[in-house]
Amino acid sequence: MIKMLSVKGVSSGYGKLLAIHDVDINVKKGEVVVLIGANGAGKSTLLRTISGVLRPSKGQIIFQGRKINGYKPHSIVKMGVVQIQEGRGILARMTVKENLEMGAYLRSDKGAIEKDLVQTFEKFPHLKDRLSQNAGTLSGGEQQMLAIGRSLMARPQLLLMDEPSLGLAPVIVEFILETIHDLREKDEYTILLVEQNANQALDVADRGYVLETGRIVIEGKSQELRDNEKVQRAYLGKTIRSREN
Amino acid sequence: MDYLISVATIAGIYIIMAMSFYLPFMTGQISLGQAGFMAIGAYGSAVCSVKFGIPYVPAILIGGSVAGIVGFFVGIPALRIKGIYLLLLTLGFGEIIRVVFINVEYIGAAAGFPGIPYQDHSLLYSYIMVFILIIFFSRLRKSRMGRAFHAVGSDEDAAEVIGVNITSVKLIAFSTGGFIAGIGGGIFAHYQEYIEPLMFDVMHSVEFIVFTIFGGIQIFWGPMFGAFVLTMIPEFLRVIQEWRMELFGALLIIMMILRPQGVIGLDTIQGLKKVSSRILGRGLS
Repeated sequence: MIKMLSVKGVSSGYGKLLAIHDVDINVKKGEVVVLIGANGAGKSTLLRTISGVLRPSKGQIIFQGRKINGYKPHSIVKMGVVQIQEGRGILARMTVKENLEMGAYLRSDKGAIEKDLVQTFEKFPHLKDRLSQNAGTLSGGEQQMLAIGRSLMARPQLLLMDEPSLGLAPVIVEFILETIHDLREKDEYTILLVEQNANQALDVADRGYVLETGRIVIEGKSQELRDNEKVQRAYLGKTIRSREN
Repeated sequence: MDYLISVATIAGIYIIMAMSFYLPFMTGQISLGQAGFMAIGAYGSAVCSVKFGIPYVPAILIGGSVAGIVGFFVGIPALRIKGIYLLLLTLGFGEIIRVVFINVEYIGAAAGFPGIPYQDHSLLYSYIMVFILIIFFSRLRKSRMGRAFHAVGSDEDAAEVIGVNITSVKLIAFSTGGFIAGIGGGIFAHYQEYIEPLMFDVMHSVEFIVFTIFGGIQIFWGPMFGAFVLTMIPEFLRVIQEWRMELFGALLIIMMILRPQGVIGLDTIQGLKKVSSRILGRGLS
């Protein structure tokens, strides 16, 4: 498989305070890769560094053979890397339709945009009923669907998803993860996913990395991570479950 | 009649000023320095007419452009700060401009700048500018740039990851706002014939904000309506004139409680459209 994204020795953070140190990760075309880690481990920092919101103080980020660190976020979106922010980052005071249109902000192919809108409604029929509603009035699950739908409107090559299940009811979390699964199976999207829901995230991911206090400590295929005792103890809650048994 | 024309002219100029505040406001930038840009436009165009004999329209355009360029440079530090800090920065800017003008002998210093050629058709020119602004803002609403403005104003971080170049959007909004204020200042100077730095103090910037908040922030008709009504009412109710800042304050508090989006909201426009289409429909059938 073709290497799509590689992060090489990247350190990044906020001002002088580094949140990630010497991080190396790879994402191949067509893969779903998950980043697992506790609060403050640096998962979101890594995503935001890739999308250009933060600049790495060290290291390189290569996307499709091209160095992208140092570019501004809007240029990186144009290259095909689209981030869905933690907390969904929808434009609350704009309507659902306007949000979706904003997703295609950098595109000029009007006809194709219309087609993509129709496809988005097929994926998320909920949104179609709410077109002229303000996005801020949607439920959490609908907002997440809107955020995903909007990111697809940009026709991304690589999707960066920051905790799409945050604060959602279990049924909705399942739906969102199913959507991620479909995006990869049916539409062949490449996705880098940050999740605290390690168990469910490993169900849809091919591979994963575990971040601890800003460093990658474990990496491997989803099954390997599942079998890893340390991962089980820290992120999959196995010991708690065995105590209950 | 003369009196009516004079009030209407001032109202037109204040509509221009309210719009100069509204444009950067759309992108989330609140400026307390619009009177400063107005002063730059007023003095700039006055210098053009008096010292260089440049005709009215180009003089005003030059004044506006100078204000726009200054707006660009004030907009650069404004990119990095938000809310109360931006308010302070722009407040400081407005006062600096005023203090500089008080001390420059070339333009009359504190004594003011007299002898600016009087423009008979100030009323016409101010409403031509208002008309241009109406076209500009209604086009902006439907344009890509307008959507970007709206997105940046709604959530800057979200707009950034969608792919909006927030640096250029905010700079364009801020400097265009400065340009519009400069045009307003130019028309004002050539209507008053005499300008002095005191005419551009910070309380005027506050008034432009009041016009906007009162009139409505969702759509550009709001600040236009606010500026017009709040200029006209105190003129016709002379008693209120002396108490108008107090009145404005009370009005704002009442608005915050009863209708935080301002008098003219999106619902007003939709309602008007419905009513007018019903009337038209009945007329046709």
